[in-house]
Amino acid sequence: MNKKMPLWVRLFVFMILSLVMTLVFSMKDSDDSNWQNLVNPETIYTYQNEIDNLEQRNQELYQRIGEYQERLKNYETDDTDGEAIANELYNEIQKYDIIIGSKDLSGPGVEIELSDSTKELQPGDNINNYIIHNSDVLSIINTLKAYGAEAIALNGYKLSWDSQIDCAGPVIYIDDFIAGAPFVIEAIGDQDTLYAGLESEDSIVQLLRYWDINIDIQKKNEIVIESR
Amino acid sequence: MKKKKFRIEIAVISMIIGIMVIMQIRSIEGIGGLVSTQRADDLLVELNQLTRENQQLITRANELEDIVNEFESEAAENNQYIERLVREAEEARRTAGFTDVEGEGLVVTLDYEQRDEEDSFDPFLYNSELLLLLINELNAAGAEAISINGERIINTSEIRLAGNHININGQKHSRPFEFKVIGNKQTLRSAILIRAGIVEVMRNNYIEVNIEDQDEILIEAYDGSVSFEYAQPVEEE
Repeated sequence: MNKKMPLWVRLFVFMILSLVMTLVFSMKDSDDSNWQNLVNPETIYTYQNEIDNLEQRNQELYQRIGEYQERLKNYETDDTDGEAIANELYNEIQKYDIIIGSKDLSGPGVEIELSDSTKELQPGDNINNYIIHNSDVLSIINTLKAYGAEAIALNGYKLSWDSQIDCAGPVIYIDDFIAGAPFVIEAIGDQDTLYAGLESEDSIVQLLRYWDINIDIQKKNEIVIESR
Repeated sequence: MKKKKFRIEIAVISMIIGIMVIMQIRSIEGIGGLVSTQRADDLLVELNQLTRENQQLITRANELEDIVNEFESEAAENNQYIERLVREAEEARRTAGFTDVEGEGLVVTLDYEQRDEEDSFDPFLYNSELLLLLINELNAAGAEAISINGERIINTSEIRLAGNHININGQKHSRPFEFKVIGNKQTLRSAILIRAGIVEVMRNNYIEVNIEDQDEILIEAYDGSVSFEYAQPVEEE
């Protein structure tokens, strides 16, 4: 403080400062207007999603085209008595029957047994957290489908896409079928995948276990799901 | 000692420059970082190629399907057995959701309105099971066919949160979600609008629900292919 800086030094400093300031701010401004042209990760992400979707779709289309071509070849080689056509149609009906579930199905899979929590309630606890709701069952079924379950039944009742699952006091209604605890969900599919899916960290099963709801998951080599 | 005099000034200037550099970096981080336009261009090219390929494949598949159908109906004309099989196959396809269907029903659109640009909240990522519940309620009201964003709901359809998007039929989707439902308009509408029903729950979760009655809704067929590896029909004895 004793020694005053010469005037030119101070001026110089301020000049540089203001120069830097204007530079920085003008840079920021121009960047702002440029950001519309630049790409942020979200755009890339959207593109990537669409590409993934299309790739999968195209794969499936190739498969379908292959099936049709196969069929046409059969039709063209032998079309006198219509035997090939009858065969193909029969196979197709078989295939859809399995998908719809109008045939009894069997195969490897998992069996899940659910029953309400037996933990004693403490004052302040909400009983709703300790019992099984239809949304829990829906989530489990959804998880099973996501991990490739081919057929699913609840207490022996085969589920389809248009089954509604409703809470009705002590029991669960599935369409007109009444299921009481313990609820047994059977799913046909790859045992290991299904098991891993259910036991994964973010699965609904872990959440239910947190509420002490009893969940028992077992791999089974032979599960039979009867048609309705 | 001229050298010493400048030290303070230089220190101050470098501090200010440092702060500004940090500010710049921060503001770029705020929008999630930048990626090179090169990468985006590459992806766009790939996307366009795939879209074209997809169109061609769809046309090809439809052509082949027509030819197959022609063969079959021709054979059906003079063979009763085949005629019955053709009818059964059509019925099976329809039940399984592999044909387009048309009828009266509802279009339910779910979306979320961002408060501002910075708002990255997405209620669907926190409550993806609400979509499941909506389907369940619609089924309870007698829905005959449902599709979400063009994905036909069939027996194996899943609706599953996967990172930043929701997988339906293995395809990635994000909001808005458009549910097309065929069934009795009145019943469907009252079932989801019931007090404390699914629509109210959704609205409480910041989801915008828009319901529209329509006399003619076209619901597209399931466009994937399903092949079962594990489930086999039980042999009848």
